[in-house]
Amino acid sequence: MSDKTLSYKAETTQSNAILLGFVPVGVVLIGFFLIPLALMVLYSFWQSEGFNVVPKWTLKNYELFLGWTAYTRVIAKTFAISLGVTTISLLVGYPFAYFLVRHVKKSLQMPLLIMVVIPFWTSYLIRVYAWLGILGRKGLINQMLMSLGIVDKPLEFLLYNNFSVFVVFLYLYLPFVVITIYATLEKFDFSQVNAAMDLGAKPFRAFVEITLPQTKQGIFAAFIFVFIPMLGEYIAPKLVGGASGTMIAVMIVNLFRGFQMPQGAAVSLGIAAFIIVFLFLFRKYIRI
Amino acid sequence: MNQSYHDFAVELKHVSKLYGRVCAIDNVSLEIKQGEYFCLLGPSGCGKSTTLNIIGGFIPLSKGEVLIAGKIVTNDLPYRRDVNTVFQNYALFPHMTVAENISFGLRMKQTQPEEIKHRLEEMLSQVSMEWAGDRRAKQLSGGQQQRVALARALINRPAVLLLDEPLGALDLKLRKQLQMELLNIQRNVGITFVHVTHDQEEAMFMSDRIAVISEGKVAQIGTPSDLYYSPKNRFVADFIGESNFFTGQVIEINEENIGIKIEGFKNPVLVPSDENVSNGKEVTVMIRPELINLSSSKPPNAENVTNGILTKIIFLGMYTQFDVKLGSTLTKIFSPNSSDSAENWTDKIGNIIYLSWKPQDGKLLLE
Repeated sequence: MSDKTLSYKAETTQSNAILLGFVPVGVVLIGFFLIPLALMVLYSFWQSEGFNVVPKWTLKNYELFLGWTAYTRVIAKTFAISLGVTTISLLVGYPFAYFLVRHVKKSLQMPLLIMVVIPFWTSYLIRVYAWLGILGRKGLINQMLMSLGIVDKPLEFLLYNNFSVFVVFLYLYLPFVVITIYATLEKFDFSQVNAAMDLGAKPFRAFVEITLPQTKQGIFAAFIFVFIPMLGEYIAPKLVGGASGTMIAVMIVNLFRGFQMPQGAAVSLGIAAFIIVFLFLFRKYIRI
Repeated sequence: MNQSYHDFAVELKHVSKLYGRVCAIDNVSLEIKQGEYFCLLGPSGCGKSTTLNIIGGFIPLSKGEVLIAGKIVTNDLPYRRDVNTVFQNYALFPHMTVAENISFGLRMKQTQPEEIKHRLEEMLSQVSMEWAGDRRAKQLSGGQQQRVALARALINRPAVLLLDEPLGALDLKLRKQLQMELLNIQRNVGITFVHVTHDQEEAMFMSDRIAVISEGKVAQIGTPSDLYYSPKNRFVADFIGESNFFTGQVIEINEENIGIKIEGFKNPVLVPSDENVSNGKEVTVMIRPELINLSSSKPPNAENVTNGILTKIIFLGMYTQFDVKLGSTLTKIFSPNSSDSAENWTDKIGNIIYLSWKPQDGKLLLE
């Protein structure tokens, strides 16, 4: 009897201890995530009067999503660019990681991976700024083309448009793809590929039937690591995108700066909802 | 399928494989007969798996020629060879069911769905796994995975089935059981099996013929009893079964026997004649432990007699092992046990006892 009470006590203290471990995380999550999120939700249904948000209920803020407005256009473009860059990163990063795992000596793999990661040693802001010096009117590319006599005046399409945003995004996010895919392929048992070839599959067929399905988790992870942060990119489009290369985060910030907080909140939440639906469908479609 | 008959399922002609300057396979020539159960036997790192991978097409060779069912396939990739493999770790596809795993090969060859279904059922019952078609490979035990790997290879009805240490990961009892099953399946399907193992008992049990591989070379090819009773060299004699070795110098040669002067033997040790021997040559005499007679007093009229000190008696079930110290070397003797084994040897430990064997039982080894 007393034994039972003792063990019961021990169990409750233990589960209390486990709960205690969640307290710091809980405080941070509630204080810095849930409450602000709740505020955003409230704001998105309230109205702005002058410089203030007043708690008057309305659905008007969500009208920004109706029709082909400046907002829906930029949202669509943001999605298109992010999807495009993610796809190209995967098309470039997967073969690179594959090559690294399959055809490079173990001792050389790490140095090569570190070279992929080296850009992260400088600040993000500097890395984006560097592209102004590469793509700008007097930038590296234009000066080179002019000194070689290929063009006689600077190419204008290199900077302050969707193209420059695309290029800079690709540069910023490719390493994430390489590292994620590398981690997946590194664990993959390639004797299965030999087995598939032994059973009559040509190398590409073996890749499609065996390697690809078993590394799609890695592809999905890379997709999430790259696609979602890209949707919320503010600094890169602001610095290299100019007016025509603007993206939705820039517009949201502008709304908040212009004291249109309810509309800014509505656009933010709308995009969040869109991402959730998109990822759900994506996951379901490729069956992970 | 092309059913034309060839004497040899696999032929290796002077095959070498170099890794940098290291020779993994050195001028190996093999002929594996149609329908044979053939083992490549050797210690780890001897090149037996490399040889198998060369037959399968997974490793390009540096020199030589490979023929499968009479066709030169030296430069063909695995998917062009009429060969299937049971891999050491099975290499089953974890994202597929057992049925999908087994039918993979037929699907790659664009076989008709009804035909695939028919052969799949046949194969599942062949390996007694009818119940497992919808399971994932990961959910199966080691022995079950082994069967799936076997079925996945055999369903293609290849000219040759390659097995790379197929039973290496299984416990002893299951291994024995699967050895039996493998043999039965091989007899049923009549496909040539080439089996790599480091386990000499497994090789002896299963094979029609064995190639003993040592340091990238073929040490000897023969039936299990050939290798046991007529090993060509010390490596084979040592690797297959237990053996005692004595070295000495040839001092007399006559039509029937060769006499060898060996330390510890009063008279020359006699072995059957061998034409490659000349007087004065250093040679090794090998004698299997079960062919030595043991007696507590000097045997009259026996040949090849010596004596030593009995140091240990080990009861091993079917037989008893006696360790006898002859000078500085330890000799093993196996004596069969029976319930009325007459002589009680235990009180003779530490005493001098006599060993002898018949001249025809000794084997002369030149290398």
